[in-house]
Amino acid sequence: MLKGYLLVHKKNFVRDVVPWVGALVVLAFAPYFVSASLRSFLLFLLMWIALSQSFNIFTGLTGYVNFGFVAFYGLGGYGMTMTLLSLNIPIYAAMVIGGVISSLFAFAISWPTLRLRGAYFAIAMLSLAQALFVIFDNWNFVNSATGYTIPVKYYDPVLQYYYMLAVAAVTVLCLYVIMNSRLGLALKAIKQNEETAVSIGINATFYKAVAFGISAFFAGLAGGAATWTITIIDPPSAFDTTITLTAISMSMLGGLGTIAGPIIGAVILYSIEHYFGLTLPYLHLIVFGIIIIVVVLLIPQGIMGEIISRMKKSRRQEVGEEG
Amino acid sequence: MNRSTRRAISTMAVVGIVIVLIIVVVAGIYIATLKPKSTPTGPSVITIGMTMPLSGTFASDGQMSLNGIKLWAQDVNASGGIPVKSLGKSLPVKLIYYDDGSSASTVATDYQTLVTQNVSFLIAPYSSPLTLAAAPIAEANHLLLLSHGGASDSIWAKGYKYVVGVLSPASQYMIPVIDMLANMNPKPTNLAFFFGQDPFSLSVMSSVEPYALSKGFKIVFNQTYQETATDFTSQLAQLQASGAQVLIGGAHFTDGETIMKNLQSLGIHLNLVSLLVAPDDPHFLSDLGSLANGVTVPSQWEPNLNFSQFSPYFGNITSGQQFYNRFMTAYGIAPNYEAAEAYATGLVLEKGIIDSGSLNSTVVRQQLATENFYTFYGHFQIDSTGKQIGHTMVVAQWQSGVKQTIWPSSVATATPLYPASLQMQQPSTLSYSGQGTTSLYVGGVASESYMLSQSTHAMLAVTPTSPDRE
Repeated sequence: MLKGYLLVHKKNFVRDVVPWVGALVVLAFAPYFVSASLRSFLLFLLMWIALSQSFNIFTGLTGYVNFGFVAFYGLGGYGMTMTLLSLNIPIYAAMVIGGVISSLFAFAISWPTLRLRGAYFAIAMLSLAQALFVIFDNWNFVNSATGYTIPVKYYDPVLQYYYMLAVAAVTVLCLYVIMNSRLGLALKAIKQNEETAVSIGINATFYKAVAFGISAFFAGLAGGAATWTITIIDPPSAFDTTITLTAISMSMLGGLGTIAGPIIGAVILYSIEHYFGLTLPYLHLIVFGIIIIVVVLLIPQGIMGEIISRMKKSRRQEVGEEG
Repeated sequence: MNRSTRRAISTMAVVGIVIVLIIVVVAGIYIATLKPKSTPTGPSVITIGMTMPLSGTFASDGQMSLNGIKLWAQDVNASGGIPVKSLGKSLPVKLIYYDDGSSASTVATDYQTLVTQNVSFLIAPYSSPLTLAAAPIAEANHLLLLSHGGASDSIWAKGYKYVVGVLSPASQYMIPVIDMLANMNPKPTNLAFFFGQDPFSLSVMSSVEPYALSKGFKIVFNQTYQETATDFTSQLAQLQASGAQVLIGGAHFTDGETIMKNLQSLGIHLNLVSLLVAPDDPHFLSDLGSLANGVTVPSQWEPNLNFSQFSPYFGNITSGQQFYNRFMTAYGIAPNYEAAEAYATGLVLEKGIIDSGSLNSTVVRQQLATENFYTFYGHFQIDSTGKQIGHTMVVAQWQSGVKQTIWPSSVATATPLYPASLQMQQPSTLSYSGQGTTSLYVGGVASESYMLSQSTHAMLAVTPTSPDRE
């Protein structure tokens, strides 16, 4: 039964899997042959891949734009840090707990928020993330504005790299599995026309909540791994709206609703930001902004979206010609 | 034929993407592998790495700090470099710096980059959270990290061995203000605490609270506020009802100005207002005009301070005024204490290198633990954690458009304007309505009466656009 849920139709396994495994192997051996600075660059690139991909799991598949995405990242970071510091358990366990906390939060808020659509959903999520910021900033249970610092004994850049690689890889794999499952098909139907989907018996609220929870789980994992690397967490850094906007920019540039899209978006945008941040200390934000404007104007569907639609178009024309 | 043309379009797109990706990857590898080689290393130069927030929340503070450090490097190199005993020669200083955009994650990546570029020493970025993000990387790579703009006491409570503070920690900020109030006549009894909800301000608050109680003050109002808020009138109205005579609080620049404007709109009478950070900035005067008058600020450094009579004294700059003029000539703007503490950080490193004769971070760190000297910025001495214990804060006050040092009395340039009679009037009647003549006592010694005439304020009304100290 589970199999039925997961794999609706078989795809070309070799074509779909081999490049990914290849990339994973290269990244797994990277710390052995790249410099510490490149490894650190790759670590944060993997974080952005994980974040834009977990954003994609919900927004890309359902079409609901989640402007409060950073809430999941922040909760995961806080959950990881607080369990690590208070329970003294292994980092990976603390990270999973952070992800679960983030996921539970998503399920809890899905009931009121997922009844909203379009701009209303976006505004509700944006305010929710802001509300979390204010609550955490004033709540002594989470150390209010002071936040937490990860003790230096946990500092291990190579291990941090592998954890982030694992988070990114599992997030991408999960998206692949979802897209090829009944859940993915249901979400696709909801994205295209929610009323029709409901009328043919799809439990839209349930499927949306599941996608929301999964998206939150992986964003929480990435938040936990990122906090471990950055070593500090406080409300302004954990609930920074820029994180939401960057995840949106990356997945939209690459193409929402595709597997490769958010990865391409993350690689391009993070590389540009990192490169110009180092070489043009004052101008890098302008360069970054101009690139985003140009890309959005020229390829609004994102890079993968453009490629896919061109391929479909040419295939349709071929079929039409032959027919 | 048609078909192949159509396919070519799609292939072109793919090729385009691949080319972009290749360029990006090649560029990434290029900066990661080539840059270290292009950096002069070895004994020909002393390489110091850092990031600074040149954009984002702390941009103006970061720029001031960077200018301070660059000025030091310029001065050192102009004088022939730093003599390194173990090498038997003097070496010039080379700074490598990046813009961290006020982001902790960028600090984490950039310091990873810096440690691969053969830097001998690290300087921390401005602000406590960014310093905290850089510290573990410095620690893991056994590189000295000098903090010039990270004041939070938590930096030195984590067991780091390589982080050395040049500035007074946050817990010291409001202590001299309390000391000063305890020496006032009449001594105020009711204090109001109104601090921003951020790590730095909370750190200040947690230390000043018990200290004020121990000095016999009553805290009649104690609240925190959200720094991003644009209006504090409802909280300040409660403050007014509490019967407070003195307001102690603040966080950073914008909120500090807002508090002053709100006090004015509510017409609250207070004997003294002491705010963190904001009043130290010359813009505080140009923005608020006569409303700034009488407001006090705890300061790490003021240009009118002079430590040259203390010994041992280190550095070519012999007075605050000389630094002020030097900075003014170089950048065309007045330095604040952020610029001074950054320059002084360079001096501390220079002294550590000269006295230890080494470019090894561990050796220089050990040397700094034993140092005890003065610069134009004040005293330098650290405890076993690396926290600054020698340097002391002063209290400055805006008086007739000039920022005067008013406490401690041994270095004061003017007597405190107290009660400052901060009669927060409506903007239409912007004139000083103080009590005319006020008797002032500093350190138990009666000083001359202070009188502010209307004419002084007529003068002040012209000055706000040019916040010149002179």
